[in-house]
Amino acid sequence: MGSAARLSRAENLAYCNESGPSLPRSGVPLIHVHHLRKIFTSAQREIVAVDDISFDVGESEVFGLLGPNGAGKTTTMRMILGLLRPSSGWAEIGGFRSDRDADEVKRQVGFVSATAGVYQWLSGREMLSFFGDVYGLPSAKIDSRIEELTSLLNLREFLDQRCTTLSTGQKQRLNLARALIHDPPVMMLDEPTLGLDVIGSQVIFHYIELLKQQHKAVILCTHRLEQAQRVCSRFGLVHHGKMVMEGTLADLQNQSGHNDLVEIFVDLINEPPQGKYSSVR
Amino acid sequence: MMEKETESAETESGFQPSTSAADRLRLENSFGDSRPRRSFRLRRLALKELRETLRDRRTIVTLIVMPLLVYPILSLIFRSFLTSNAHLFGGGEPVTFQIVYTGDGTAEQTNQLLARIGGTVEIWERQAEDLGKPAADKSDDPSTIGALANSKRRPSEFVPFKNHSWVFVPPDSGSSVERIVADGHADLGVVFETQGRDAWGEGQIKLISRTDGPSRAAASYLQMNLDLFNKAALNDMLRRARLPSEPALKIVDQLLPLPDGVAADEGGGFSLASLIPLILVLMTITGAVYPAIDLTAGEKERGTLETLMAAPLPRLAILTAKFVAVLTVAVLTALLNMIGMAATIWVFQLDQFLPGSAGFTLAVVLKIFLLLVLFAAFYSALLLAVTSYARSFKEAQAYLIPIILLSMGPGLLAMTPGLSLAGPWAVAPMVNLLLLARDVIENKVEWVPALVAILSTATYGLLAMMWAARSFGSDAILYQTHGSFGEMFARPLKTRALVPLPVVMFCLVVLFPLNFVLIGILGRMPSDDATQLAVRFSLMGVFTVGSFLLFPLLVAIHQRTVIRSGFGLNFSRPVFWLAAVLLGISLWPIVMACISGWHDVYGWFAGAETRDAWHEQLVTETAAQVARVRQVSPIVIAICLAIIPAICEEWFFRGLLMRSLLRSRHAWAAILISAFVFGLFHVLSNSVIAIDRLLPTTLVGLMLGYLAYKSDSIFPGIVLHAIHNAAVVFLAYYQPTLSQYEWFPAEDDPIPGTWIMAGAFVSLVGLALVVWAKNTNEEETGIGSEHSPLPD
Repeated sequence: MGSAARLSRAENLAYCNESGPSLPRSGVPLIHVHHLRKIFTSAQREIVAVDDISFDVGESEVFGLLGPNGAGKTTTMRMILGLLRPSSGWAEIGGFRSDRDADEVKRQVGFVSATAGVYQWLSGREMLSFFGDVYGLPSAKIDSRIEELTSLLNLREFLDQRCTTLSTGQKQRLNLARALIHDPPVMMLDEPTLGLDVIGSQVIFHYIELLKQQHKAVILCTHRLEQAQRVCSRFGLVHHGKMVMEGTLADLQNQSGHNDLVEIFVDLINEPPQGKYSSVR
Repeated sequence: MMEKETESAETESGFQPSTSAADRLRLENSFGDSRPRRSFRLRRLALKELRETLRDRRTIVTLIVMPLLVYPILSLIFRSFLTSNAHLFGGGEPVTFQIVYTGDGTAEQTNQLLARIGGTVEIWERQAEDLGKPAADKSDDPSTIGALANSKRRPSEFVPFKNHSWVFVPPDSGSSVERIVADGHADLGVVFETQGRDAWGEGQIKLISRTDGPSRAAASYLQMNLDLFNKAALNDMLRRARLPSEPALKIVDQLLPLPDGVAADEGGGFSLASLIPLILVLMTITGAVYPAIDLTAGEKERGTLETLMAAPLPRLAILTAKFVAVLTVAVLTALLNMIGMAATIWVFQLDQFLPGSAGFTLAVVLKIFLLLVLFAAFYSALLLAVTSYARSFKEAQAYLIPIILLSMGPGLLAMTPGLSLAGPWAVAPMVNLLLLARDVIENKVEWVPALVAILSTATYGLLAMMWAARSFGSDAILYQTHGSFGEMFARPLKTRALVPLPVVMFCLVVLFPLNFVLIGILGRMPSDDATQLAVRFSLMGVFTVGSFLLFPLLVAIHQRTVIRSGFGLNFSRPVFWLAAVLLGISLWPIVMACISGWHDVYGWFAGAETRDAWHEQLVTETAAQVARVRQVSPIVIAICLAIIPAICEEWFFRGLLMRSLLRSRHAWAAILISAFVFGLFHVLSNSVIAIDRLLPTTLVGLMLGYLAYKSDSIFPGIVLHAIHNAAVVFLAYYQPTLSQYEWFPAEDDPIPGTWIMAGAFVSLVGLALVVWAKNTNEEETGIGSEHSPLPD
């Protein structure tokens, strides 16, 4: 695998095509997470939010980071992106470490967080073109990119409305378009379907499939386990800040003895907590 | 397999990323390396922020609707205020009085009389306005009255009667003048009781007014004119009788220029010139507040800030863009307010109430506008620094309300008549700009203080911006989770070495007012004889123990803190004891020198006269205190003024406070902060606010802090503190006895220079001992570490 990391891009793509998306590893690790740990300190106690999490995600791979609420998924994502400084460990995207070259890392990543909002007084088009500017695209490119994303994500009908008038689903689609405006090789999606109805989330998941075909490396946090089961190539199950299980669906099935991701998940949550909020002091 | 991969990746990523990986990514990112220039990006960022703010309806309300509504309303209030106080202002009446009159003669007779009175006044007016010729030249004119022309009164005080509305009420009409005035249909009622005659001393005029402002103003206005008429008539009579019409004493009114630093007390202590800047400044604040909250805390709440932070933008660029947007809105608000205000002033002719101004010229308006821009920049930076801390709109509002209220203080202070832009006021934030704006309106700007005011405000703005840059978007603030108040006081599960800093700060917040109250209680205690005084001193000791020793102790116990490490109750090496004794006996002459030095500094700032008065008051009070102290037994004094304060204050300031500070701050910062707080408490421990004690006490606090830091113990500090206190107190106590000896200075004499030198020398020796002594527990992380420090 070490040699695979040094494959040329062409070889790399060939490797992808040969092995197909179903293979557990289909490229070099674009995302490399190395023993990340985050401790939050308050006046009274220290909370280990992320406890030694490591994983890799390669091209054309969708990594499902799953776990109950408060497991530490969002904190992990924020550390990968360089928004939060890890207490120890580091993350790397395309060879850039997020604690050293945060700007470089941010340039490679499209990020949709669960709480991401829209600029309510701007129109969708204005917002997209603003972010295009922010990522340094030339204006002609911005226009063509907006055109592309508009048809892909079905934004046309509301693109020129003020964002304050949009529905939750429309806002989320706009946010996805915003994250994709600079066509980043890596996508990080934190609960992109939060608050969406079935149709709304179908659109999103359909698009995630598309991202996979475009050889992007995707990290996906979601509670929609059925769809996750279909779209993700590999999974990481996080509980109380720890990576409890990692691997393909088959790996998970072998480890847990359950067939269904939902069952595996429920089993995981019902386990007695190991070192919950491990108090350091 | 997985583990192996991770391992290989680990070894790979230990060094800088290989160029091939970076190149590959650049290729993959279809838009490659087209990074925008910073200035361009900043402009786009600021434009976006502005667009977002200016489309917000709530911004528009403060921006446009407020000035449209506020100024007409304000001017109405102001006008009615002016009218009711018209006599206070030098300007002419801007209003028309409604006067009803009647008389016991016929209507014709009454009108003739009124016309005569009015005519006399009017003739005088015309003469007085005819400035070219001396009025006395016209004394031959049969219709003029020479004495009137000789009067030195200003012409503006007299306005011809015809400017007002006079309505005759026939005596038999059934409606009485009293009734009309009482019902408020007229400002003034005039009843001529002369039966048509106006011979000297035969008639009278009754003025009927209400107690409200306009009515009183009308009455005094007419009174003034009638006095004048009477005087004119008298003069006329004297002239006809060929008697000298010169007054017994001629009055010459000579106006002197004001001494430096004293502003004119114009308009009876109230000046429109200082009100205008205040209103403008407050409106500018109003304009800046909403966008400042919305673009920081609001964005955080809506979840757009994180998106922005996830983009490859420097934090400072985002902050600067927000600053530009807030500043723009604030300046726009200021501009619209200025337009609204200038229009109002022009429409309502209020500019005549601006003393000393040449009216609102364009230059004045422009200067004021530039000052407002400067102020807006300073305040926007301040607001952004504060709102960056808040997680939600509501929270930001809660932070800003005290700040806005606090800024009202300087605003009102700047309204104080007689305050001039000089000395400390030139650098006082907000006050300086308000005073400068007032001076601009009154057209008496002095350049040096003006420059000082402008530069200092720019500096404050820059500092606020740096503060904002430090806090804005740092992950601690972006994702902070404030512990609730209850959480802060929750009992921890495990014992620990130190009390957490927030809890210590809470102690401080409680102790500060508590100290005030206790001092107040002591101040109200009877202190007439020795027994009462002894009780009072003992009680003082009890209070000190309670507030500085027991209260912190209880908090520490509640926080499950190990007392020894939490307060620094460690054994100390002999070198520190020696240093403590040396410093204890030698610091007091330096402290005394500091105090007299401070007096000189104070004199330099406030003028020698103020300084002397203040000094005298201080000396008297100190003498009274010392006299009382001398009535009490020296043992009580030693316990209550030396030993107890030494133990308790070291326990809290160098124990709890400094040790908790040491954990999160640099050692010097911890020593400095604790020393300053120590000094501050002592300033307030006297009945007078003894500001002169701040510097020396802080200095002693620094010594004590350094000693406690190096020795990792409060014990040597207690010795230093006790000896020092005892020295100061007992030197005063035994002064009469001691000064019988030749070598001791008398009561009011300064400390001899040789003493100060000797004190400084011994202190330096003591300090050197502390400096050269090895840190206790140096091999560990020093005091304040997580580990409970070990004794030697």
